[in-house]
Amino acid sequence: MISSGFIDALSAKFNILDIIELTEVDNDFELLVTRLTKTKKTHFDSKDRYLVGHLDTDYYLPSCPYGLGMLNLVRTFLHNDIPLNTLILLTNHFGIKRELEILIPKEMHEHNFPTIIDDCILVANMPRLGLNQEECNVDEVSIENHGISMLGEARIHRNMLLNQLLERNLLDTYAVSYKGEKRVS
Amino acid sequence: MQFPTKVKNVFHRIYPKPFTRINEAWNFDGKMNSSPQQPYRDSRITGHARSMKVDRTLYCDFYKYFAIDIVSETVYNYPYPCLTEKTMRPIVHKRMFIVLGPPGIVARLHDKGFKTFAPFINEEYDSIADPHKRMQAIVDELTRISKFSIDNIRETMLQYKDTLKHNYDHYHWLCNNEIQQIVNKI
Repeated sequence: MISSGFIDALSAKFNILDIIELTEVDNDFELLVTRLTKTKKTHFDSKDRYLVGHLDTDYYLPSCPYGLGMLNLVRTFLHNDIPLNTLILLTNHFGIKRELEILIPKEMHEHNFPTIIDDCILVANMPRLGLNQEECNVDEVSIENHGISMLGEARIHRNMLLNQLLERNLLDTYAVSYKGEKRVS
Repeated sequence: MQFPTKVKNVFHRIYPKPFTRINEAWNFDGKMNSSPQQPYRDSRITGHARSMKVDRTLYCDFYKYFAIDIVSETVYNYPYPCLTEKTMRPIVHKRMFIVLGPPGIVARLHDKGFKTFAPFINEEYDSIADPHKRMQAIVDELTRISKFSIDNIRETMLQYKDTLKHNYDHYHWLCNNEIQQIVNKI
């Protein structure tokens, strides 16, 4: 989710027409059309903006230089005649401008191009210590193990790491959890 | 797992079919074993590791017993060095880390003012584009580090104490200042 701090800071500067998380619409962009239709204007004010959060992953076809979510987003804006300069794209995909430069016609690059914020660590809600949790100090005495890896949902790279640690007998050295809270069956 | 085999073209849009955001089709040649395993949890991990998903706070008391977090980022073979809360977790806990993620993540952290743990951790893996070779480099590094005694690891933590504190402080500085700085530039 887009960080609330970002929404507040941008709201103070712009007239935010809608806040859209890409994951809410990327499996059916007609949902985005419905939302855009509600806020579309004949003439947009210079401060009107749509905030779009692109904070999850996108799907890339083999050798395709852009993700399908980005393709569909740009096409939806263009198809519904919404100026792309009303779009602020908040993302953790550092360097995504190159995709938009491919997807948006060149003649629009100078005056009708989205604002891209891709260089902010805190663009999404980020972790903080629990309310009653003390700052974790560098106390070398308490260190009892080399390392830890919390692998969460199964993914190819996580499966690979776990298999490699198993093959090399490293699970005594590195404590691992895999597939969340569940215990070994 | 079922991979999308074709795309569904709806008017001017294209969707993967079945719909997915996960780019998992990169180990077809089976260069490394990526078979899924049974759910597993080491008994040394005693807290609620997934609590971040609920309210973004951390409740990881067990963290203090570990020196290095092997962070498995959301994506691995991906065109961008995407940073998520997973990489921030060891920073908040003042722990060293190795990131299992797209190439360029460590460089991205340097760009944002964080410090990392070379030469103790060989971070050349971060510049290896080939996903299999990068994985090999990470696992080789973990194997090398595993040969250090726990006393060596404790000494190393002390040597990097300033770096760990810098990262912790810098993260909190960013929490208070980064957003406004970026918005001012727009």
